[in-house]
Amino acid sequence: MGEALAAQPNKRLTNAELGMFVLLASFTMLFSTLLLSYLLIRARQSVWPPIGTEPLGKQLSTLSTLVVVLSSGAMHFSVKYFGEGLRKSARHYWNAGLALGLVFVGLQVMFLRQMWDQGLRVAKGPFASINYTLIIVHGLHVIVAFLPLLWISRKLANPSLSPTSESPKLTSWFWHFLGLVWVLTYLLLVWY
Amino acid sequence: MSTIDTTHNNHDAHHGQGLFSHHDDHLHPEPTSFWTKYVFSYDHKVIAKQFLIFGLFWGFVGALMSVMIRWCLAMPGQPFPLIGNLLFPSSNGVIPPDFYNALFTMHGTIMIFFALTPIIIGFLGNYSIPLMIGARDMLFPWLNMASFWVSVASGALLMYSIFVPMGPSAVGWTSYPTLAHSQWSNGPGHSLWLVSLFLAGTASIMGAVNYISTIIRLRAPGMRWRDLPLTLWGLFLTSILNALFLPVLTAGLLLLLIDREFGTTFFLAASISEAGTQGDPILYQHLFWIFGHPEVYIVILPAWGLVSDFLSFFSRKPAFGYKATAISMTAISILSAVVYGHHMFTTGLSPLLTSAFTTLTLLISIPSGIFFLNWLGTLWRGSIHFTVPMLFAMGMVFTFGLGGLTGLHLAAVSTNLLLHNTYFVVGHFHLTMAASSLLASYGAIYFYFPKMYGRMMNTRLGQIHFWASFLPIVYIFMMMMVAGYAGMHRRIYNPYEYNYLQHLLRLNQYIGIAVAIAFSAQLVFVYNYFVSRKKGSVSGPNPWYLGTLEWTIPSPAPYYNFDKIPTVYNGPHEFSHPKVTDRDFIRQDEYIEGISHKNG
Ligand code: HEM
Ligand SMILES: [Cu+2]
Repeated sequence: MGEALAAQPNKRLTNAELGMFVLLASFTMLFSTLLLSYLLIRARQSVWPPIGTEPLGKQLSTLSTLVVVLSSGAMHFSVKYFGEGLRKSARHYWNAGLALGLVFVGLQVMFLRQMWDQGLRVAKGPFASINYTLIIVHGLHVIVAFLPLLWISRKLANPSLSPTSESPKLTSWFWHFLGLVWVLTYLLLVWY
Repeated sequence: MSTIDTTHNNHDAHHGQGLFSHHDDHLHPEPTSFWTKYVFSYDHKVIAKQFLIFGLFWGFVGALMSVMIRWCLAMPGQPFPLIGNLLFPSSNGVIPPDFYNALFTMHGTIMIFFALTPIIIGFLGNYSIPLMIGARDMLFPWLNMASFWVSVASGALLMYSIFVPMGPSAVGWTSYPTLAHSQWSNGPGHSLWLVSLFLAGTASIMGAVNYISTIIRLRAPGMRWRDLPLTLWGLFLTSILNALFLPVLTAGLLLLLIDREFGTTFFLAASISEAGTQGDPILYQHLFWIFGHPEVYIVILPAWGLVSDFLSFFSRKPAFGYKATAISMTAISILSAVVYGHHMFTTGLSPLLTSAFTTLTLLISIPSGIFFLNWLGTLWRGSIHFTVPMLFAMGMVFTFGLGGLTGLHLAAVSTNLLLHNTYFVVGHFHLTMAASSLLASYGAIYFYFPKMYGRMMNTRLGQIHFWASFLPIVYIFMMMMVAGYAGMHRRIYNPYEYNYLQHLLRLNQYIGIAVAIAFSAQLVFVYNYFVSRKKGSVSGPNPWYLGTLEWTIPSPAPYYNFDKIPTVYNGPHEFSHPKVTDRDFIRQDEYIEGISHKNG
């Protein structure tokens, strides 16, 4: 049976990796579309941000970008240690990545508050529409990603988890992906 | 069943959980409880049947709606027969104008996303992929099951939206803003529509991930890409388009939903948005058609593949130009990503863009011409067996040819400007996409019925079903093009309020009669389907005398498909080989010296 299902073996990607790869291609199209919409709408405006609107704050968003990069780094090491059989370090790094993820969400919420306090309202035209939407849609994906993150965190504490399990790696891929999306979004929204 | 080797090896620590868990390591015993066997089943064959029933149910609803649309056009102001008084008591059984808009919107949505997609992708893909590649299931059975149940949730939402206050969505299946904004389409109907399609898209993406991975990984040992039946080439390309372009639609729908529910202004033009800054309604059209054009290939590619196989199967000849067909289909899939502008010629695109889109669209006719000629080449001097699946395949060749030719008039911007939004377009896309995929879907059902139930569908009833569907369908859509050429717009409740369209009443009545015939013919199919399941003649494992892998196992296909995973030595269309004298086909899994390729 095992032989049968590995009918077309391939050294580069395992089956589950292949599935994840296709799924991430889909997600890439989703976020590209959102960012493209932003760029196209923005291309129609003569001034950006519109007159009387303050540009987005740089401190909080830069901080959250750093945090998300660190979080990705922690996940990366966690998966590395897991592969080397260092279960305990793997768990610590995983939980650190998860905690940083929570900090990221906290910072994003503060960032949104800041926008709100500046008087930005979603119904007030494209500037607010875009910023709120991109940040919140991304944030919701991050929040949903916490479910597998927590699940893996629990599994890493469980000695019966097989050392060949691919779940930590696949989950980390998705996490890296979300981090990357945020970095791009940040660059386009805040610095472009 | 008992002969299956149920031993398995090591790690099942994370088995059965998680998105990408799979049957890599062991065989489950066949489930015995009703719930695990028929409802939440992992078995691709059960999921295929679930998609089939789902699609047929919605197809019936969608077809009934088209009858109601055509009633309005043939009998303006007359109460709808039989159920009219029940549905529209306040207008004495007459279909009211606003409901007419809901009807064509729901009809289009249902036919594309809830009838054709579930049948030609959900059913055909699930049923044929593992069986044709010699696998025991999909690579990710759990994901497969989830895909079906998300489809059900999406269908339930759409059904619910029909009954909410102010009625279902009525803005056309394209859901263009500004009409689709809440200021102009009040009530929850259209928002529910958006969420429903969002879910339908998600389900299709889940399916696509599975199909792509399964075809790449689970092909039986020895099965090279050029040993793949063309059906699977079609499904593979379709899945890639699904995985890449559905997210574009879902992103667009999401933005529209946020516009409606939270007052953002992505798609509101300057003059209407509160703050006077500019959103862009045309942006939505771009997003919609970046998805929308690939979508028409999404529903037609599996049909092309299937028909390419059927023409070979039932002419008892190898498919003419197999490689050229596969390459053409691939080329079209790639081109389909860069032609969408032909839906937007009237939006004021720059002339540079319109001429580019015209040229690119016309380019598609080259690969289309290639595989179309290959089809004819396959038939040429074949020993044609007019089985029911073959009838449907040949019908599809006809409708697709007709529809494809009329596409040229729409691709060229100069003629498009006149024909846009007329019934010419409606006739054209029904011939290419609707009629062609529909005929192919029926072909697939007749073809796989014996493998599903171990019995044949009745041939005579199948022939009646075919002719009583095919002839009216061709007539209906040809005449729609005639009406469009005469200037009749699509999406109008009563064309006869315009003087210059009054003389079309007769034509529209003839179309109505043809619709009634075509609709009744489907009842013959339903009857045949249910009666043959119990009473059809027993089919045996290989009723069509074919060499592809699904016909090497018993009918109905056993729980784990293949006792022993086959090894593939031959292509899918090895017919009438002079060296094999006792039969006219060669099985893909038999080794014949001098004919088969060495299995590497
Ligand atoms: C023989 C069966 C069918 C008949 C008689 C029929 C008839 C019609 C009619 C009369 C319209 C309204 C056109 C308008 O006013 O613009 C329509 C629209 C449409 N139909 Fe069909 N149809 C059939 C099957 C299908 C199938 C199988 C599909 C699947 C692709 C389909 C897809 C559509 C779409 C997408 C629209 C456009 C809806 C819109 O304007 O928003 N139809 N059909
Ligand atoms: Cu198109």
